Parts: sequence; structure tokens; C-alpha cells
Amino acid sequence: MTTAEVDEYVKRVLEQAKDADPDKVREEFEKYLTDFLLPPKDSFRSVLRRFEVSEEKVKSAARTAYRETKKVDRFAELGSEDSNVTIDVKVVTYVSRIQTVRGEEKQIAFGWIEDAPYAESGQSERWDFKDWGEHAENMAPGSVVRMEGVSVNEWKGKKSLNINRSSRIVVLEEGGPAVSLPTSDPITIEEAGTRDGFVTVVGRLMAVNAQTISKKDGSGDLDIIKGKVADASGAIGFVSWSEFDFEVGSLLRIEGASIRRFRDTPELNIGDRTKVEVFHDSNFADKNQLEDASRLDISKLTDGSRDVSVVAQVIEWKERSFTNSDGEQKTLWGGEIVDPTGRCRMTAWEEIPIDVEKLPVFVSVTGVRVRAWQGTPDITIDRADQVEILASAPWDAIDASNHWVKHELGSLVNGGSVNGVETEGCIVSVRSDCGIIHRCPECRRVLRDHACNDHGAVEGVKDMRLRMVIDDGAQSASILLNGASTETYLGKNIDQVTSQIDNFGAESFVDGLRSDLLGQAVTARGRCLVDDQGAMFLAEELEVSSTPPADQSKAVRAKWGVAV
Amino acid sequence: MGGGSLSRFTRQPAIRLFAREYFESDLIEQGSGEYDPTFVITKLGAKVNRMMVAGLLEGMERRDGDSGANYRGKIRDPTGLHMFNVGSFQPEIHAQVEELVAKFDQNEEPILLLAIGKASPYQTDDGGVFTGMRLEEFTMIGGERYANWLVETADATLRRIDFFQKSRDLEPSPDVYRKVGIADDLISGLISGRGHYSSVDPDVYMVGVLRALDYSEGNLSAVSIQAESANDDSNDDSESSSEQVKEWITTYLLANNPGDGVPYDSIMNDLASKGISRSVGEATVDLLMEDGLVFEHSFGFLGHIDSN
Repeated sequence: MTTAEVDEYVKRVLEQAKDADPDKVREEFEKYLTDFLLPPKDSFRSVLRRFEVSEEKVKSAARTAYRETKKVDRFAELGSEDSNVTIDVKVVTYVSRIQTVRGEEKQIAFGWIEDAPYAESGQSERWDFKDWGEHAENMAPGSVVRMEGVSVNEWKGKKSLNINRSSRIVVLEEGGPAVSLPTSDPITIEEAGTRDGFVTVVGRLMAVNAQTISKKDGSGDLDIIKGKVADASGAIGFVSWSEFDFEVGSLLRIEGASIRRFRDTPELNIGDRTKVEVFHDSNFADKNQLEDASRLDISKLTDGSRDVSVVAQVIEWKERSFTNSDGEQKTLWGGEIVDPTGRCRMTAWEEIPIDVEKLPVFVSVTGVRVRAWQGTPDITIDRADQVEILASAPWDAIDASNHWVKHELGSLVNGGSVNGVETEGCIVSVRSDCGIIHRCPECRRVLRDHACNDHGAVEGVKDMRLRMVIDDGAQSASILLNGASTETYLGKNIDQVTSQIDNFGAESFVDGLRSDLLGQAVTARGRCLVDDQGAMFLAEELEVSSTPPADQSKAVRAKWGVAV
Repeated sequence: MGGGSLSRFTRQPAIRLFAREYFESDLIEQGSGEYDPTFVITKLGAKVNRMMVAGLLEGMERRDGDSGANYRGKIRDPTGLHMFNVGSFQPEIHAQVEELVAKFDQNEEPILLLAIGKASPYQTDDGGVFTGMRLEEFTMIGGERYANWLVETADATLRRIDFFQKSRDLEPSPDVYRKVGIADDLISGLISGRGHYSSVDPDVYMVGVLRALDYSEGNLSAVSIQAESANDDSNDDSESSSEQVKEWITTYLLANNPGDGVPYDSIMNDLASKGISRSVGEATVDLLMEDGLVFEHSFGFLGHIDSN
């Protein structure tokens, strides 16, 4: 038994019993060691008791000490069985909440931590953690801490760290202010939508809707309340998991609700710990004013929004029947709508009085939800009473065949998916696979070597397309022209393109496109899909810029004040 | 937006820039990850990974190396040369490049090339940096598309000059830069560049901008310069003629300086009368300036240090 080990345990005892005499503690350990042949590891608990440490502390201190400490630098070095781990990490987020464990309310917290806090950025690995020991004050986001006595938890192949009551958290570098406690100063609803964690807002109750959901584990149903609150800055949907007994139109102060995201849309979560109370402010905008203000432009619709109000021009409307998976015959109605900011789809599950003969028809829809399909928002109308046909047009009828809302490429690439847009840039790449392709007759996927990934060797269906990259010097996006758009752009149908490729080769076809388009300024019109792979612009039209260089040059001189 | 803030899966934008801004750069920035893109950071803060360049094809040759054929070439724009290469590992464009070599060797008419390429800088042991470009896609273009490129690149350069000047007197921090409206795609490049380059004079890049705009407005002298330099096999580097030209320039400057410099164009006209092309003249003036014998009095006016 080394003295170093005894030293270590003396130190641990002193941490718990601050007034004890170190020499006495050492003596005690040595007595156990020589007289009873008990190493400090085993005598620790007894020694602690002798120095009058409370029973609870003895237990927790002993728990840490009993296991071998494993000290690592990286999460990668940890196995799922490891406990009593020591590691330095950076705290990324720390979110507290109350959880009922075996009928007892417990304050727990979870969040993200990153290993190798001093490594260059991008080299750290991020893990989830759960804090069972109320270490909030030492774990402010942004701080670097040494964790001692934490254990690894593995669930469904994903490892995380458990911080226990007995774990020690030593702050090595202070972070920002602790955010463990819900903020009690209200913020605007617009700002709340950009936050994570807990927020407090004051807003007027715009809609309430009781729902029953069945729990995923089949253990029964749960009553929840969904709705929407609004202030002058905007509106946000909420879900309440506890009692919520307020009338539409009341002004509420909602304290300590957590923000969660459903698809692209933030939502307030009202739980047991959230305080909801009626708020009095005679100057607060009333429900009608807020309804006007919360009417959304089509360009602002996001996947997953609820209780949305939109005024739009219906440009196309069709009835459609299908058989659902239960074999029932169902009918729905759908079409396209536009407003001055964009274009999207609309689907109704009940018939609404739109006369197809009289299109365009103007409608005001209220309280509807938004889904997105292939990047185009789709307004879903569940009940006919959500729609009001407007007698007078809110704007001069938009010519939908030529209604394109101009966006900078950067705002498209950094925004959500949108339809009915146009953007400018240069073509910086013409992909070699432009031209004739064959698609799988089952899934429309492009065949490679006459075979589909899913359906094997099949007789392909001939189609054509153009694939390019558009770029404005700061951002880039893929551009795709489908068969119809390719035909429009080339002024050639699929048979003419086929015979051109048969006679002169696919390479010469692509070379010709490059010669026409590479480095060329173009305007693309269509819709833009954005996902984590980047942006893809599905162009209906591709127009080559025809401004003479001399005019462009004069515009550049004017823009930057360069004299001739 | 732009540059290093993009995730590695996002395609890097093609920076429009003139040869001079690129070859005067010697700051290479490379991320630590295996697939992190390499950037050349110019004095004006452009973070160049991919670029779009254009100009007269002034050299194009095939070389056969151990690992197969590779190619080298030069593109001249109004400010100088872009050196490019095509690697043996890019067989997908070899056929097209071979065609270009053949066309260049026929030497029938000048070839205007527009090219998209990746920055491939090379640093020597003693710290020197050669900025080159690896060709990705290219096409031969006509005068109008070239003019379009010139305007677009002049615009991009003016934008960089503008933001460079706005950033000069500020504390180099992203927040401060953002506050005065400096575009996101330039912020990190401007900050890295500021820590690396000393005494940057953005006016030197105005020369290229002005030439580019002149040409695209129909002042075709720029075209003839390029055609000349292509046919001019007596070549800028030739030692003896260059000494002679230096002497002519020196004499002319000393004889004609009223005190506030000699107009650039009058020097060129004098040389033209002696049968020296504008491109050779310009290159020689640059050499004299590098030697410290000639300086720019004010924009467009030159003086010799021995004047007055």
C-alpha cells in the first residue's frame, strides 16, 4: 500500500470533514491498514464516520471512492460499462426540468457536452448527458468543467453520460450565466421562437383546441390542449400537458414554458412547472388586431405550422378521390394558391364552395395547418368553416403563369423551401449527365447500368433532364430542369434530343450546353428545395441574360461610383 | 454565407477574380480535417477555393508524367496571367483538354477561355507561395461572354475593394465588421488577411477594373492588346529587349515629367512609336516599379525617382 494512496484518501476525508486534523485522519487509516489489514479503500467509510460526517455524505463519498477511477480525455475512450469516470468537457447546453421518478418529483437536467474542450474546433465529440444531482450551478453553458465520478449509459447504441448525486463537477473555466432556472422576464413571441430552453411570454390566447392522443406505449390516452398565443411581434403555437382552462381572447402570462420544435416550427410546451396566469394590460392589442397582424404571407409558411391564417388567390382547384389503406373511398380537393409573396398548394378534406368556372377566386383561410411536400408548403383545411370566400379581391388578380417572386440566391439557400420564385446567378457547372436518362417504371428513379437500386434490371422509361450549378459568387445551388422544362429551354423535344445524341454523342451534347451556358448569367424560375445537402432549384424556366455588356458595365460604374 | 462558414458538404462558390488579385496572394488557409477545403486568401479578403476566370489562352501543353498525362496552361486577363493545370487524376476532362491543346497548337485564331477551377496553391520550403488553379470545367467563349465575365468580375472586385476599405480602420472582429454591414462571405477572409498582409493598396486593383469596364463598353483596344501578346512571340521575358525598353521608359520619364508625373498612356504611346507592344510596355513598367526606380505619382501618372 503506497503512501500516495493514503494521501489521496486523507484528502477525500478532509473534503467531507473540513475541521478534522489531517494527521489524525492519516493515523486512523494507518491503524486500519496495519492492525486490520484493511486498505484505505475499504476503511474509508469507517474513517469518515469516525470524523462525524453525516450518514448521507458518507454514502455518497464512499460510492465514488469504491470504484476504480477511469480518467480519459475523449469520449471515444469510454465503454458502455464505465463508471466513476473523470473527464474534462465543455458544457454546451443545460436544461433543467422536473421529472417524476417512482412517484417522486425530482429535479433533473439534460443537455450536451463536448470532449476535448481545448482542442481545435471541429475535433470535439458531442454527447448527451443527464444530471441527476442538481449540479446546475457548476454547469453553466459555455463553461469547461472537470467531471469526476460520472458514468456511461448506453441506450439503443447511443452512449451518454450520467452525472450522479455523488459526482463532482469542478469548474475549470467559467461560462455564461447559469440558465438552469426559468427566466421570469417576458420576451416577445418572435424572440421566443428563436430560443431554446425555457421562456416567459405574455400573449393573447387566439385559439384553443382540446385533443386526446394515445400514448405510444399503448398505456392509454392523454388529454392535451393545443392552441395559439399572439402578441404584436407574432404568434406561436403551444401544447399544454396539464390543465389549461382559459377562454379564447384572454391575455396570459406564461412563465417557464419550454420551446420545442416540430418540423421547422417552434412550439411552446406548457408543463407542470409552467405558470400560466391571466395578465392585465389594457393597452395590449385585442384579438381582432392580432388576427390581422398574424395573417401570414405565403413566403413565410413553414412545415409544421398550425393555426395559420392566410389570404390567397386560388388559381387551380380540383376534386380527387382515392381509396385509403382501410379500403374506404375518400374525396379531397386540392389546388394551387398565390399571394404577392409566393405560391403554394392547398388541400381540403371537406368540400368548400370554390367554383372552378370562376377562378381566380379569393379566399381567407383561418386556423389551418401547414405540411410540406417536396419543399412546397401545403395548407391543409380540415373543415369547410375555416374558409371564407372573399367578395372583393384584396389585390389585382395575379397572373399565375407569370408570377415569380424575386429572391437573392443567398436568401434562398439559407431559407426554407419555397415555390414560385426566381433568382439570378451564373452557371458554373454543367453536369456531364445532362441529356437523356431512363427512369425506373416503378419508382421513377434514374437507372444506372439499366438497373434500378430498388427494383433491379427493368425496362426504363425514357426522359430527359439538365443538371447544372448556379452561383452568385457567394452561394451556390444545384439547378435541375425536368423533361418539360428542358424541352422549353432547348426548344427541342425528347425525340430531337435523342437523335442529336445518337448522331453526335452525349459528350458533344454536353459540350454544346457548356459552350452556351458556362459562365453565363441566367435567371431561373421555379421552386427551390432546401435540406441539409444544400439547395436544389427545380427550374421551370431558365432565361439567359441578354443585357448587353456595355449596359451592364455602365450599371456597375453607377453602382460603385466609378467614372468613365 | 460563403467561405469557411459553409459546411464541408456545401459546394464552395466560384469567386470571380482577376489574375493580379490571385497571384499577389500568399496566404493559404487549410482546415484541420481531412476533407476541409483549402483557401487562398487575397489581399482584398476573398476566400478562394473555387474560382471563375476567363481570358486569352496563352499557353497550353501536355506533359506525360509517371502517372499519366497532365496539362498546363495560362490564361491572360487584363491584369495578368492565371496559371492552371489539369491532373492525370482527372481523366474525365482529358478528351476535352486534348481538343484544346490541338486547337491551341494550330494557332489559327486567339482562343478566349472561360474556366471554373479550384485553387491549388503550392508553398515552397522557403515560404514562397505559387497560386495555381486546377481546372474543373471550361469552355471556349466569344467576345460577348468574355465581356460579361469582365463586368461581373469588375463588380465583384469593386465590392471587395469597398468592403476592404470599410474594414480598414475597424477592430478586426466579426461582430464589429457585421455591424457596419460587411458581407458575411468576406468577414473571415478580411480578418485573416489583415493579420497577414501589410500595407495593402486596393487602388492597384482598380487598374484591372477600369480596363475591364472599358473593354466591355466597346473600347476594344483591350482585345487588340491580347491578340498582340498572343502573336508576339518575342515574349515579355526576353532579357535584352527588356533592358532596351527599360532605358526608353526611363529616358521618356526623365524628359517629360512636369513635376507631377507622366500620364501612363503617353508612355505607352511613346513605346508604341518605337514598335513596343502595350503588354511588353506594361510588364516593363511593372519591373521598373519593382526595382524601385519608377513610382506611381498619383493614379495613372508615373514618375522616375531621378526626376527633379
